[in-house]
Amino acid sequence: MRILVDSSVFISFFNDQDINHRDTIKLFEKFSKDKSIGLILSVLVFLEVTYVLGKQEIKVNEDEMINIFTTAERIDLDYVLTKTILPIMKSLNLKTSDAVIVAIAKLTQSKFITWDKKLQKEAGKIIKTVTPKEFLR
Amino acid sequence: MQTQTISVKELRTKFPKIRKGLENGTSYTLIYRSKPVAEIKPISASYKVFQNLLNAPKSLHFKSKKSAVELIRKERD
Repeated sequence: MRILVDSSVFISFFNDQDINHRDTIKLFEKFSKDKSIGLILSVLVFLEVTYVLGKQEIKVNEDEMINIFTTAERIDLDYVLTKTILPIMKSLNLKTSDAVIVAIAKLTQSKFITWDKKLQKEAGKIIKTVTPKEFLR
Repeated sequence: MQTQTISVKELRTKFPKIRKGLENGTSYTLIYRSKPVAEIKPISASYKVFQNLLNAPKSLHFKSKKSAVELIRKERD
């Protein structure tokens, strides 16, 4: 199964005080044992996570972050991809970053996992979208 | 997370090194008679990403009363 994990899920993992932190850990523990999972990593998600972490009072080593995500299936944003996902983006009532991520999930036929309920509702119109809690049920 | 170019000869003679690169996430573009003919990519080992995250140093963690959704929405809105 292919999955695209939203930045909100990764950030809830790194934020020890996040209301969803424990459920995110449970999800990651499940994925860490499942060799059939294929993680689609949009470069946009990687950038967002690294950037938001960098804004906190911690030192983020970019190489360390790259090493963590090195075995994910990375989707770079290039001109060819842009042309492919634009029609999908147009079918959504979302802001650009949200639309790019959802369109990549659609293009790669991935299940989209997010903690963002509003995004889940809109993305759910074109792709299977769940929260980590729903995924764990 | 990188792509390297290799020749057919290198694929034959340096396969142990290339296999190690694939295990570390490197993809290869195979060149035959000066033209790219194939891409060799590692089979996804996504479970390792989550193992890496669970084993990530505590120094990467932070404490914020703002939820992850709020922090990301702030970037996207």
